[in-house]
Amino acid sequence: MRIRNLRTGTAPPPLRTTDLLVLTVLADGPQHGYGIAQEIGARMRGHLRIRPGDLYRVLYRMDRAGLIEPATESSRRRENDERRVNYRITPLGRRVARAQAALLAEICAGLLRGAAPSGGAL
Amino acid sequence: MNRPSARVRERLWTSLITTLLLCYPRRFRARFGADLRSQYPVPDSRWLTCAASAARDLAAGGVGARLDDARRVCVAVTFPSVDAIRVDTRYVLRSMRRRPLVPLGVVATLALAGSVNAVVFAILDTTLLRPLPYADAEQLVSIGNQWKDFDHSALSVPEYLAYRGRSRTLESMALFTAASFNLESELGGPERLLGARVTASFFDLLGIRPSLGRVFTAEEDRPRASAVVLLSDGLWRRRFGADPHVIGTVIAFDSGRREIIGVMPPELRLPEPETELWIPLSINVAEPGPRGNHNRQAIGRMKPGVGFDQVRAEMHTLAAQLQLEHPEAYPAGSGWNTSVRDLREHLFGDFRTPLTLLMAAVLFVLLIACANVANLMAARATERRHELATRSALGAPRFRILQHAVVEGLTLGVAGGTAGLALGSGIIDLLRSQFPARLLVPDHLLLDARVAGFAVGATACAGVLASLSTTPGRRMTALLAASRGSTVADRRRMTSGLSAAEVALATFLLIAGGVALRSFANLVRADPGVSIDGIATARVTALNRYASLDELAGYFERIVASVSHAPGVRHAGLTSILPLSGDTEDRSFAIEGRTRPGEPSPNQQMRAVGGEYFQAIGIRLVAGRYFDSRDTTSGERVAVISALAARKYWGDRSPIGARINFGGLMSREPWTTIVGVVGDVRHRGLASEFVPMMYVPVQQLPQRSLTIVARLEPLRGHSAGFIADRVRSVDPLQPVFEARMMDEWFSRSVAEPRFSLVLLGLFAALAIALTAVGIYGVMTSMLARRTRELGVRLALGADRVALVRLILGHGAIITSIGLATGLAAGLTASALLDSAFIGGRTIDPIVLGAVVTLVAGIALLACIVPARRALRVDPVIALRAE
Repeated sequence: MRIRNLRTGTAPPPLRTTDLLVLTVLADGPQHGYGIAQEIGARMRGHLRIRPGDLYRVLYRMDRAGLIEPATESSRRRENDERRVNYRITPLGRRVARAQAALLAEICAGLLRGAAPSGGAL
Repeated sequence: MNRPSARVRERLWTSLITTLLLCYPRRFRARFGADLRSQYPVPDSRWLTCAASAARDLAAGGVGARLDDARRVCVAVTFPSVDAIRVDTRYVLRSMRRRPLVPLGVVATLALAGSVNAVVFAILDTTLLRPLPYADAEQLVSIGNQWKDFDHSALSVPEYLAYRGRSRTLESMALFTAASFNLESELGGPERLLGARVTASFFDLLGIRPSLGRVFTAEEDRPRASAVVLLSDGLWRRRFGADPHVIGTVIAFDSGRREIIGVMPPELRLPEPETELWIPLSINVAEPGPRGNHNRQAIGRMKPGVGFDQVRAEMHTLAAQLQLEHPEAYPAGSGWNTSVRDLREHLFGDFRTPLTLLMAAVLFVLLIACANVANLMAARATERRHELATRSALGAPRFRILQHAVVEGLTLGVAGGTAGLALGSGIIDLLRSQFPARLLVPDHLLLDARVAGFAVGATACAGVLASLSTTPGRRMTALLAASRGSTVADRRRMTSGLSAAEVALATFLLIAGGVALRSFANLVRADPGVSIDGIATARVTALNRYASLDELAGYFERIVASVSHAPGVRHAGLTSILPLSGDTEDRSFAIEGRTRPGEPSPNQQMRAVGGEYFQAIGIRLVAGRYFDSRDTTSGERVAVISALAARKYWGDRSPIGARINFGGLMSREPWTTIVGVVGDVRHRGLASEFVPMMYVPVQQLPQRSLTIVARLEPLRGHSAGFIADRVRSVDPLQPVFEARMMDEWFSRSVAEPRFSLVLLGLFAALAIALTAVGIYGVMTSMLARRTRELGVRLALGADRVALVRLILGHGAIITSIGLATGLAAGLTASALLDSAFIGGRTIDPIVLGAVVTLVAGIALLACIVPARRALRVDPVIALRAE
């Protein structure tokens, strides 16, 4: 109870990179664990490979912080895959992710501006 | 090899994943376990690779998740509400008042262990942890010479001047030497004072200001400058009644009169803790004296920003230069180099191992006390299980129950620690005279925030640890309401485990104590090479009262005559340095026909002796003769060497008649003939080896400071004071000091190892006593819980002997598990013990046997009382009790 009070306070603690990535993926819609890992790999163009053990640690952490939750009505996209649990972002998670993204964008803007003329495309 | 069938493989895989999931917190498994498991389907091939990868992945993730959880708990625990703590504290205090016996026992146990912790930590802190009482003390270094046989020995004046002139890493350097002074005073009689001669830079370098007056200037540090002296705080109070107008007073020493210009604060304990006055060293830069006269100590202050390693590197470079410039002074085989040490390390480094060991020992005692407290509190927790179950059932979060336990443990721990601190203060006062003189012993434990913080903090930790360990686990809370089932077995296993741990710790401490005892016994049994019993000594340092060497020789001759003609004295003699007193003196010499020109001459420990010194102190003659009346000032130069020295320089040939020269081959000094070989002596103390030694007659090497050695006839009851009085009667104005029997010197030379031994013994005794109480407690409470069961067994016709066997068997299991663990730990750590104590053997069957017998015996005793009670259980009463 005390913890919840802390967590819903006005200033949530900054998210770690993996946390933010997971929230970014889930912001596009509910996803199951394997899917989240695949999606992160794809979006990071293979620069980051997240293992299931770590992914679920992140999910657990954010679940306890109230940022994500397991989707209750099991959306059975595939008939043979009923064991899979989908996770979705909570409204709090969305707010936190947005705030963090805005903050990061602001911080990184200068970095990108400086890099643009010489660095060119990736 | 057969590959496991598909079903077996699947089952193996499932159980592997199940086991690995245990790495995650319980809450995680409840919510995500199944989903995470589905991420690891049974592999079709490369079974082992997949298993390894899953193991790594899940173990890392699980530990990470637990860490995340721990961080959350920390956040939660940092802000518990003040109200809840107040409620808990009030509740704890009230329940203690209601049933004071257990809390009192807990506080007493913690106080006992806390007191020894406070004492040892206080000494460790002042000696090794706290900065020395000088400005920026970490910048101070001690600079010395390193030889093949000496790690860090004195410098000569030319060496000091070379380093001071060339070093770029040192801001300043100071040179000093201990010296004794004979104070001639109309009031209070003549007194010999330990003082020091120091360069003017000494006080500035240490950053010490006088508490009265001023320190001497560079001008006053020149030869033939005005004679000044600085007093210690102690001398100022003792001889001058703390007179604030003492500055300007001229006091008379037998070396001349000096004006008091300042009084130094009590923090200045250099070069010795007992130093009572400081005078200028007055180096004559134009004629600094021989390079081989290594009898000065040097300290330096590093420049800001300069590291210790830089100083060391520079000093080694300078040493290489000096070696090139003066090859005759630093021969190739001598192993010479400059030695730089941290000043604290130089002053107290030898205390490091024993003190650390003692600290470990008392922390062990605290751990044992902690286990005892846990046992005591477990008994109470059993009583409280209904209450806890109710609270838990009514929705008290586990966190609140833990908080209650923490508050309870803290209350008891702080009370125990405070009581222990007071007790420790008493212990320090009691033991103060026993501590080695060089050790810094704090005056007030109670007023010292660091010591108080450590002692109370340590016992508070012990209290909380004990309290938490008796708080029922998650599963138990749920089961507690049912109360009579498995919880008892659970609890019993825990208390038995704690007792076994106690036995292990006590065993370990006893082994440490035993090894220390054995090595101390070896030390005391070591043959010093001289007689100890019935030998009186007294020392005289004659300065300007006997200015000429003839007068000096005459004075000492009169002393020898007076003492040797005293009734009850068999032999009397003189020596420049008494064996076991810890001082050293050496000279180099060339051997005729052996030392080649330009070849380095060996450095040799040397003593000037007179009268019947050898007969008096009991050094036997091996070959040739002792010194006698032929060996006069004008007679042929002679020397006697010890058997080791004879073997070292002449091998199997007889050294008698061989000639040496202390000035070197080319010197005009007369040659010295070896006339005798005598037995070896452990000059540097019992703990060291025999030292090759050379003796010359004091008539041929006059000394101003000599120790009179007299062999007394047994049964005359004479003491050292009697000899001192005889010496004093020769010249009443000359101070006589260090009037001691040889056995007192002996006892002093083993004071430090004996002190460690006494403390270790004390702690081991404390540990074994606490353990006995612990085992007794476990047995008694086990018996109390099982009264009903025993009653049923008896009613059903069980043999009483079998019941006793049951109890003793339980005790035997606890004891043997503890013994085995303790022995294993003791044997593992014995290498460490070995290095800390001289002559201790790594594995000593006698010590091990004694420890096992002692521990087993005490454990048996602790079991017998409950066992006897079991014999008296009345089945009817036992059954009715429920």
